[in-house]
Amino acid sequence: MVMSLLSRASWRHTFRYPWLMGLLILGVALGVAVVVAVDLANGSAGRAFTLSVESTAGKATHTIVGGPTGFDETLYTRLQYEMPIPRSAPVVEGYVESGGEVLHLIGIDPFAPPDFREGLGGIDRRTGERLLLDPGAVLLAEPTARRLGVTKGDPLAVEVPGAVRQMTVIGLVTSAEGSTAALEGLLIADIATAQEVLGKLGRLDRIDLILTPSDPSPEEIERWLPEGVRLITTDEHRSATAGMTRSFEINLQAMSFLALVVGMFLIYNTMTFSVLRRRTLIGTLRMVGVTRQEIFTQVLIESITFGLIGTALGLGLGYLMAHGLIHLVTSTINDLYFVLSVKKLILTPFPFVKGLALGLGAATAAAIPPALEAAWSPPQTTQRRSMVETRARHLVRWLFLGGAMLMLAAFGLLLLPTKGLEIGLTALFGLILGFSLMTPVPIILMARGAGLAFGRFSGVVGELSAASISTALSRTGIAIAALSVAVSITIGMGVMIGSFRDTVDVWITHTLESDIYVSSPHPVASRADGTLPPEVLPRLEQRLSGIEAMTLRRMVKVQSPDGPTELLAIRQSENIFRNDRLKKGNPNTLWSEYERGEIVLISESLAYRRGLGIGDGLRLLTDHGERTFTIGGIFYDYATDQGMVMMYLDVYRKNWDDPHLSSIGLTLQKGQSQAAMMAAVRRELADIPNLLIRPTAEIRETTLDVFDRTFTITSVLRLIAILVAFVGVLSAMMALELERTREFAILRATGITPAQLWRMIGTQTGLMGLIAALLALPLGLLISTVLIEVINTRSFGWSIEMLIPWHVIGEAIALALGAALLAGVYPAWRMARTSPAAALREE
Amino acid sequence: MTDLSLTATPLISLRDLYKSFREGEYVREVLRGVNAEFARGQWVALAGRSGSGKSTLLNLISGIDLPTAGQVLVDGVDIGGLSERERTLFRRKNIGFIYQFFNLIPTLTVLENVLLPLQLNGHRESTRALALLDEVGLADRAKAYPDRLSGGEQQRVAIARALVHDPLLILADEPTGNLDAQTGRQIMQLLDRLVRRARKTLILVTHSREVAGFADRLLTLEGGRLVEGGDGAGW
Repeated sequence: MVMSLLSRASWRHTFRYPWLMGLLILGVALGVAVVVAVDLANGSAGRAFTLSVESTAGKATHTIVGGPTGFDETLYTRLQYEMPIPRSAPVVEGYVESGGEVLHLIGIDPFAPPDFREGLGGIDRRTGERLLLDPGAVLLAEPTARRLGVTKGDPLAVEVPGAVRQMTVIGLVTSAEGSTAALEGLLIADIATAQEVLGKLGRLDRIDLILTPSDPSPEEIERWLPEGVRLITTDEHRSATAGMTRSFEINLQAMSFLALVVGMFLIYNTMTFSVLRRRTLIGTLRMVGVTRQEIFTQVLIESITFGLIGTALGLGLGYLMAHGLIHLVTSTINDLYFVLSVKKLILTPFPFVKGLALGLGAATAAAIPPALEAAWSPPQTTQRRSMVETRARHLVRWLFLGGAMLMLAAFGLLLLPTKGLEIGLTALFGLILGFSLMTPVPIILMARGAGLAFGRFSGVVGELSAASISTALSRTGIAIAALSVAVSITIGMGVMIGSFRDTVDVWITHTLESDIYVSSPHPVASRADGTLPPEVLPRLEQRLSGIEAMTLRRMVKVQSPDGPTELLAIRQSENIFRNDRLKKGNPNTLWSEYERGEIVLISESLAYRRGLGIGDGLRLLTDHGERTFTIGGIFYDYATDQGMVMMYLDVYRKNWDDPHLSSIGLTLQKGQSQAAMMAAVRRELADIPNLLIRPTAEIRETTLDVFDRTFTITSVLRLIAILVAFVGVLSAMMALELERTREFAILRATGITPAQLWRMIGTQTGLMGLIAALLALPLGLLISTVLIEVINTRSFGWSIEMLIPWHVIGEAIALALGAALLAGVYPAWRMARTSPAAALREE
Repeated sequence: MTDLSLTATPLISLRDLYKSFREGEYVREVLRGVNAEFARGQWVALAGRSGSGKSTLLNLISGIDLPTAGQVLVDGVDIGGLSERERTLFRRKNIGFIYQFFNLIPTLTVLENVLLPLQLNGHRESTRALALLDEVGLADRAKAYPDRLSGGEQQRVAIARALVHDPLLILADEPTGNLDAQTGRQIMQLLDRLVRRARKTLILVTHSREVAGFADRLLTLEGGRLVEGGDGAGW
């Protein structure tokens, strides 16, 4: 009951400004929504991947894997005869396209023990027999069939590099557990059909095993396996693929975290205002005997209530946003890592619990300092604004010192020799917080400078506008700091994206040294590890003239003791090799060793991930056993963040029994027309379907398109951060101006016209916006430097050349000024319409 | 040092009170050894020039502020010996405030403002608050918010709020300072009637000879010390 009148007084005060309350709730909601949406989208993608693996591998404990082309299928027969393992199942897999969708084709033995496909329903004995006996028989996942408009008995044309195959859907696969996410994009055939469609005749990709203690031990099986084939645990196999997207996910989480940081700053700012606005009320309550704890509790209850409402809305909004984000996440994973089909969100409680904790935690943490300030100020001080300002001024130097020390500590954290991304993010938060603590000093200096300038050029109204910034520092300081933090984060993200794009552009332009490229499409856009039909190269060699040189590439994934490794085998001319731009190592001195296979080159992300340098050995599992290759140089590569090893094509072929090529680059003789050569190549290869014949410019464009697509999600998060910033700034500045109602009323009473008041409020909010924008520039550049040099490096291991896109700076200034000016509109409009007497009376 | 002990069982004893404020490098000494005792049920008018320390003395008596040196005893309780929370609870129970600018809670109705001290002290009953509002002539405005009331009406609400929880002591800081002469007189008559009937001790800061005339005793703060009688604020 004691709290009832107290809380009534407090709540009614808050309800006087429903706009501010609404904006505060919206700020929390947006911050929470971003985090929930990113988590839900990431989680759904991860869960869909796990489910799809589980549905086709079942209870497998181990997997036998081989090199880039798998291994001979006779191994499966030998295994069954020579090793007493009752439960084993061969698998051939790959990707095909149909109706614009990428389908995951899995070739299975329909009569393998059912434990291996326990997630799949709809495969009975009769269906198994038809899979085995009917030519081109396949089973299609039920949800995918529905989307493609295909039913049982329908034909299905699937495209593979160099061919279009006609299949027949003999049945639909359903989920045994009722979850359709596991089945998205799944196409099942028997081993022989899959081998034929995927061009893997006589080869298997893996053999899944369910080992029990009575079976031979993994060591025994390893010893039995021929060279170039390994036994790994299923977890190892799954986590190698799932782990590929970890950096991407963490990076997204980092971006959503930044949006939350903006939200938190703004909540803090709004709560501080709400307390400052009530200092007279709090002072009176303290004098009549309300204790500090009661005031503290009341302020906290209010912010927690707002936090709760905002969080609840944020959870709902996050759920809705996740529907949009899941497509962006999936398309990025498909562009960069592996084929994944996720059409639906998979809801788990964790993202919602995390969103709830973060939203409430942020609202509470942001409210604690102002609540403490309100409760601990002596009552007689609380009532006097001058005392608040005096204390704020005293605090300025301590805040500056504290901020500087926090920034130093954050720099120290950044220098720690660790790959931990969490430490990087903590340091980033420290830098932002430290900088914002230091802002009052430059704010005072800039406001003074502006006051002098305005005094000279626009008289007393201008001077008053500038002076009110430093005289009301307790409020203006917080609003400007919050605004500059919000704007700086958008600058940081914008500069990082722009710099990254520019670096990729420079790299791709340099890397594409041929004029025309012939390759086969791969469902993962950034990967070039499709297989060209074998007849392509001889035709080009024999039938085309005017070619200066051909660069032959084979892109595969090979096994190593540290997990799967991307390998680019390449045969290019010595000249082209010598022109390569290496991060470490001199291409001019490396050629002969490289050509002889004495050294390999590795990408900088592989060097970073595995801690490798020049002279170190890199162990790879070849088709003839494990071999250690000496690292001779480190090259720039932005195609994959998993890291890549590059070796001479002939060396690769000596070690792996793989005669295939993934792409052929044609360098034209001087004077040859690229368009004419494109036409000639197309003519010569016209009868081979599904080939990509592209000029360099198109590949560059496609690469940058992929880049833009993969960064769409980051840009969306940046836009959300901008929106959160805008909402927060609007509420902060509006609160500030509304708080000055009495002051404005006095000015109106002393003869300032409504037009002058408009100008005064506009000048003040505009100046605050400008100061915030000026402060946001160095902080924004600092944030982008940390994102580029620390967060990016620790996530992906890439070098990015920092570049300042001026449109990002322009946007930031427009954001700060726009939000600040807009925030002044309502108070100015309100004051211009209200009679000064009424305003004085109300306040 | 002036000794102003008057009764054997005083409600308030001020013993050698000093209070100074630091303003940058400069230390301003406002009270320089104040000694006084105030009897139960006594009306004391406290006069003095602006900035002489009258409000500061009220703050020390109520425990809102602490002396630099010396002792404040209220009903035998050494205010300086209490923790901040204990001082607040002491104030909540034993002191009623009336301010020059009324200081009503703008977001509570008239009745809720009067109920606040009662509720803070754990009483749920609103009969006494309604009766007091009736006595100050504002029963019909119980549901109005303070900004709808005139200055005189607001001060009458403040008087009801100061008395509603039956405190030991009423502190009034220039209660008529913001009102016209006639309204001020009405307010003083109301205060006189209610406080004397309730036999409460009242310490009243004023600049008005007329207001001081309602008191049993006039003290003037001069040079940081209390002087019996004195010339008020130089009137």
